[in-house]
Amino acid sequence: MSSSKPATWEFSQQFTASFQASRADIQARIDGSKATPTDSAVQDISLQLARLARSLSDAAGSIPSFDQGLYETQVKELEHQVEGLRNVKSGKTRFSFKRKQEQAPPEPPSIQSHLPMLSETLGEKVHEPQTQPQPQTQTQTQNLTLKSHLFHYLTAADLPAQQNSDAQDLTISDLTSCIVNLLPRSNEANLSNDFGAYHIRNLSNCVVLLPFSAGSALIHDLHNCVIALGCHQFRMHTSKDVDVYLDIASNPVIEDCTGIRFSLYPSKLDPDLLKRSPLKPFTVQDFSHIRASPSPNFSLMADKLGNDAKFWPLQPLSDKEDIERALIRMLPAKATSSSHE
Amino acid sequence: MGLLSIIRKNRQKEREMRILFLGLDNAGKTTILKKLNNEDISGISPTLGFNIKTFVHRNYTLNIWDVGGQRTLRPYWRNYFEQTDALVWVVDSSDRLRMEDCKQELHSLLTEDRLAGASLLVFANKQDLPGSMSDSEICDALDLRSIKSHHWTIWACSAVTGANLVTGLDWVVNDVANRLYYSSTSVHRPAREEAVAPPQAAISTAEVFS
Repeated sequence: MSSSKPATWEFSQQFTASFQASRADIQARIDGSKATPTDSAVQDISLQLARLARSLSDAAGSIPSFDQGLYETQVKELEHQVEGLRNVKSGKTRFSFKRKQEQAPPEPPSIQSHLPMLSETLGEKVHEPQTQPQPQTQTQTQNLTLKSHLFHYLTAADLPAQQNSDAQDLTISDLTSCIVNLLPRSNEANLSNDFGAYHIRNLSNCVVLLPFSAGSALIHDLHNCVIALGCHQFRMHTSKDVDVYLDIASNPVIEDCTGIRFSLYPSKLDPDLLKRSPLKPFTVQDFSHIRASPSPNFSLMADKLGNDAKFWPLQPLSDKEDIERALIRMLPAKATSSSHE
Repeated sequence: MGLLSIIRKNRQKEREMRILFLGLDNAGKTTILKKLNNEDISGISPTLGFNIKTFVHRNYTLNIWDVGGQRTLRPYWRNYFEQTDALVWVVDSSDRLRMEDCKQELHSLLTEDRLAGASLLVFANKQDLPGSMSDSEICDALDLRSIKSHHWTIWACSAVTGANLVTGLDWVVNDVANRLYYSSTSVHRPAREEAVAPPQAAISTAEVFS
């Protein structure tokens, strides 16, 4: 006990120093690119900012709550500035893909001007100018990937084009404050939405709505998220404060998790559920608590009707404020922006 | 029937092999075992602890230990090493993200003294899924060719369709049999690095003795 206090203190000291350093760095970069904001610079900055925000939410509990609140407002301030930069750059862009830190090949100066050329090669894929397919996913893996976004509403349109109609694995990683909705839309029923396994990693403050999959779900490092899915097997690792809405025939397991709440998949997300006979109730197994006593790391939310009455963000949202509001209504710990309004 | 053949028959009854099924979580270890036993595979939960299956295959009694692969369970794997004749390492071929993890776990297993001499079968499972890695890709990803301490082979398989499960098991049984029961088997085979014995070998032994 005596050792934990100094450790926390030391951590909070270090965190403060590194937080302020990287905040100053971001501020400097924003100021530097105010005159001539370029796509890559803005994306770079917002990625750095996302990382900063994540480190802040990770540090929650280990730093004084006053500092936490202060830093959160500072991060929000920076986010506004970045948003401003983005709007100056290209009007209101809804979707923009952030590249990883390693400099991506230079972008063509304007996507709009290249549209005719793109449409020749990609066929009918181009009618939404904001969604550029990510080329990197094709070479490295054949998985469908959603990666590195901040404050976006992501749908099937954001996935790279599917080569074949077979079930492919879906990878969702590194998102902050996003809503992912890959549920089949009634008006495009023939759109293939079959996924193999779900690999979900490193999300914070996100709502993820997924259809049923015959494969398994492997989930790592989620913080303050809501996730609804159906799968064959469910494994969640090193996550905190997650609401899981699940349709499953086997027993879901958690490992190194705290604050997980389980509930049934709401029929509002898949009306076909009502036609089917219900599955037998699942039993959650906590591999970090292999004892006779009940695990303190998860709980069950049994309110089936309440699930359907929740504000599921089923309609695409473009405005950052709308997304924020939708997230606040859904997320377990309302930490996205405590000072909002 | 002469005395010798009676003795042989008795000995044969005692023939048992201890096979350990390991691999990362979600690799499909339990599913493979259930499929081999023609059990229902639809409602399998992640293994908390271990399962033991005993069945006769090609005249050998196989004691198969299937230990859960969740990270918290991996430290317990070592409790099952004693007297293991063969190690079956099951890989989820579609899980590209954790291939490196998979490789490290496998190679650290192979340094264990108590597993020295055990045959190694790598099952590249889930071949029925589109976009899964082929057996040769996995062979490279796991750096199997660097393994000199164990007899090994890799089989692409699918626990859902059942493809190659029996063939893989045949290899294990043959490889172990050739090592343990060299004197009493009628098939004389030099030690091989990678070659796969035809499954008939074990059957023919069975026919000789019955």
